[in-house]
Amino acid sequence: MRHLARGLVLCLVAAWAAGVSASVRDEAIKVLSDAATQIALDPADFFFDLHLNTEDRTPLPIDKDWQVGTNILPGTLPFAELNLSGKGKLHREHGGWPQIEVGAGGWYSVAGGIVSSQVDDFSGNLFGYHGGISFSLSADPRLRIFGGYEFSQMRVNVSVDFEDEVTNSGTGFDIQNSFSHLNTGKTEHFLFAGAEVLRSARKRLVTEIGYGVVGNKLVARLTWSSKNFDSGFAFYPEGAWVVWPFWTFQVRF
Amino acid sequence: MKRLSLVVIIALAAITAAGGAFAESRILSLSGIVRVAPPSQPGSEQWTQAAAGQPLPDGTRVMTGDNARVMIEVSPGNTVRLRSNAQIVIGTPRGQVTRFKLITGAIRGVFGRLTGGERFEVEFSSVSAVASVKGTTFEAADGSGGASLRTIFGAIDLILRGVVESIPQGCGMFTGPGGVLQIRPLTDGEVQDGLGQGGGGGDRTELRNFVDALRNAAAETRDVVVEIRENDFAVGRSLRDVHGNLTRVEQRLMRPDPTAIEFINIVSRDSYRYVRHHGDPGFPVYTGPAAPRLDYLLGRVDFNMGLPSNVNEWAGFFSDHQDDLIANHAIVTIANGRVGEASLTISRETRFADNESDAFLLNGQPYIVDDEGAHADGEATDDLWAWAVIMAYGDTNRNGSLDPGEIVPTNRVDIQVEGYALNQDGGILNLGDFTGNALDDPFGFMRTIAGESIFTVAPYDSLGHRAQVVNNIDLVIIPDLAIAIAGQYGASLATVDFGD
Repeated sequence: MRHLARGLVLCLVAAWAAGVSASVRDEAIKVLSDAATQIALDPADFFFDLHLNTEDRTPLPIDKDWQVGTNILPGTLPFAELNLSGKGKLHREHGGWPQIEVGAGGWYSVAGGIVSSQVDDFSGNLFGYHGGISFSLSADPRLRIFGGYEFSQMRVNVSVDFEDEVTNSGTGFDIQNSFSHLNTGKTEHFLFAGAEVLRSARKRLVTEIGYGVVGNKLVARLTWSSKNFDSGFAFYPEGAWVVWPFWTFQVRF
Repeated sequence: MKRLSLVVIIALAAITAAGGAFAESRILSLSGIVRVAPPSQPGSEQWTQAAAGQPLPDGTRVMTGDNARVMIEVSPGNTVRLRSNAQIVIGTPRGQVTRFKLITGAIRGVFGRLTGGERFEVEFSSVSAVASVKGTTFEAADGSGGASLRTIFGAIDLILRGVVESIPQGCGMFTGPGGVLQIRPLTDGEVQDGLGQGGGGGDRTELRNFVDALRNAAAETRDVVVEIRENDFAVGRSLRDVHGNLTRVEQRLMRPDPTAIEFINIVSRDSYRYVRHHGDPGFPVYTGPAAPRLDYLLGRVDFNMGLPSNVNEWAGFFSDHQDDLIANHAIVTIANGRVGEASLTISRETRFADNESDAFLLNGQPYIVDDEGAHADGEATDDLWAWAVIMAYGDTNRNGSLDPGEIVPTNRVDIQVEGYALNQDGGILNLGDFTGNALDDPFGFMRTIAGESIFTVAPYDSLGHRAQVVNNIDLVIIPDLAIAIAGQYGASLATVDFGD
């Protein structure tokens, strides 16, 4: 009788777990399916989010004047975006004037280059760059607020040569001359603002929100900044993939 | 050998030129017992009372007593303030670096105008550490309990046992008695303490800080002046000044040490608006911000012997010692802001006895009054107002007299002094007001009147033109403290033998 009861309970637990896992699996598929649909409908927006992941708008620490860094995840890995960014301090905060710094950076998709080298009739370049200015002011010794402007540009340049394969489609539509080059991209002008909280002598927590005035693009970032490695989450509330974890390497001096 | 000498001379000249931005440090302002000692072996110092404007050569020791404060100007815009019971050794610039040694106590540094490679360093005594400051606000302390360094704004490089540690804004370095080092963010209390010393905030913060400091001073005074009943020597009154601003006046009589008497008259306003009633029509009108402000008058007299701690005995004491009681030193300071943070400070310092001297200091720089210009008063209508414009020249070589080279427009300031006798509502008194009830109850009447003195300073620029944007000190002084003292000790005064 006890074995029967135990077996019944195990069966019930197994059935419940199967139901739950099926529910989770279905939900995951739905999320991925929705994301895939949104990417298919507006691939440029998805690539633009990847592009934005490489940008770092956190203010320079008070005791540092320069910074060079790269996004490891999700830039270099897994999307093969070789990226580099830097910033420099123009004015140290004092005399009632804020810290003023300028920054710039760029990335290039190695994947596009690899495909171009493997496929004769195709050449593709995916790259982006950005530059901006930021102002930071201490509201408290342990709290700074900052804001600024950033120009952000992503470019996709694709060339396709169909001359050998498609000479005449018979439809009257000359695809050869109609689609040989695709040069597109996204340009955005961001206004951003945020706050930096000192967590220890070497660690900062930085929150920021940005608004792109061209495409009404909203971005937000939460960054834990340490001596050389920054990590956190980037949020694109209206993007195909809403939350991106990121991990970057920085050298500040 | 000649070539070597030439190289050394050129190197010294280069070092001197590089360090030109840092001049010799000097005392900007002080309160309470502040003593200085020239360079000497520890334990054999010759301590003397410090004075505002006093230069501090290399190796000079500066020490503060209980409840004392002193602000030292390292270079224009860069200051170090000693709290009570602190001691430092002054260093002069070497190259672009100036280093002070903190012997004991706490100091606060505000370095807002270091340029290029200029640096200021603080050397600690209890721990082998040097703090290198490139432009920041910080607080440092040292003593038997260990050393600490707090960065309020900016960043500091701490060279500790040969290793450079950055102490960024909002963090501090702390060592315990065992020398254990800790670098951590400042606590809320430490931040508030740092900000409360004037590290940030606007005029309202300054007002609050000043009032807090005043309250602290009052509390400290209670401890020092045991025999004097404080309530009898601290008065305050609210009234309107001649411009119509609501004004609070606080007065206090203090005994910082047995041989000295200090009187302070503090004028605070939530907002300040200047209205010209009388004055030289050609003189620039003060058009500063309508912000909260504080003005004060601080007077101090030092005697050659201690006064009785019980004020009841003063009258008899003065009578008994009228031949041998000598005032050695007197100083009156007026300013338009908290001690050490005022934008305009005027002092009149007199030393008596053998080395008699009289110095008129404007923002710590000696000036000599050359002439009185235009002036007028309300005598014709019996109205109690008067004004005068005086001209003064900077005593740049500090020899106590004006040399021909100093009497040039670029070295000149004009000071317009306005004086008013006021009623409680800020109206200008007339001689006719001193009748009727005023004569029946003179003490009561005196408690409804006040005096107002406005000192407006117009410097001249490098082209010899008088500035059109001017600064002022606006003091309202009430007779209440004098009345309180006279009322309470009238009986004692009546027994004084004033001789013939």
